[in-house]
Amino acid sequence: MIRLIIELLTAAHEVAVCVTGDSAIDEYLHRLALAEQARGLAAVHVATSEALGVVGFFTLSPLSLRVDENLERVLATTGLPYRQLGGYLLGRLGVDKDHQGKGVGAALVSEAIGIARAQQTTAGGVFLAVDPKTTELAAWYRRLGFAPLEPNQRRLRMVFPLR
Amino acid sequence: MKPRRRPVIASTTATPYLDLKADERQELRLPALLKDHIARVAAQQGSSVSEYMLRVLAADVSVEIAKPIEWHLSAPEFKVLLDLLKNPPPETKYMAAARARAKKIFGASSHVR
Repeated sequence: MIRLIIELLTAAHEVAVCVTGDSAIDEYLHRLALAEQARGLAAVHVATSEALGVVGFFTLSPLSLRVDENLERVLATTGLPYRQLGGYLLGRLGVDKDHQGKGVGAALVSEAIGIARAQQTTAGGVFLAVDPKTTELAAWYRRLGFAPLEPNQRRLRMVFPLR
Repeated sequence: MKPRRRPVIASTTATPYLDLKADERQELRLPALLKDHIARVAAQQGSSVSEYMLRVLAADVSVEIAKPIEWHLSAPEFKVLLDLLKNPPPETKYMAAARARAKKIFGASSHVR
């Protein structure tokens, strides 16, 4: 089994060797991730080893989920105990093509949940959310325990409770 | 008389974008009137259209991108969320396997408990 270290992205990491096959994900990792992290917009966690360089990565950002105020006014009787809840967004996730199909992606999601849970003890946050771009990805997240927010799934936004 | 060109002065928040190499292209369709007005305002400010649009966009984006991410949910979606938090589903077999694998792959650096 492959052995890697999970750590925050730095300029020293060799990100160019990680090619996921998704041009948008690759573009983000190769050119934008470090700058975005430097601006505090996302934490970029990389799975890496000295021999292989960066094999995969994911990003985490704070996320607030709030009930639509207009709708709440219309319904008036929703009886919701809260109007807003804080958590984390698993924004981007990618694994190098040579290491796909070996469970690294699912292991990275598991790490993202572990980090979010650790943050929860010090900074709060009650969920990890994803916004899959395809129904196939949504099905994969569902197998990992993420639940869709919208029953008819017109949008694919999903959450994983941090318990 | 051709307007005197002056250097683009970026706002503090926009500067990080304007310091970067502008090596990407973006095509867009826009109303002819807006296109004309952009050119006029840019000229009034002594900028090229590209300089002007970059400056305006960078200033706006740098403010918006720094705002905390928010998802606005419908009341039914929010109820789904609250129900999930109140009654979290049991761990799936797939997630249990992923957790075990993460511990093995990432060893001491793993955050999985």
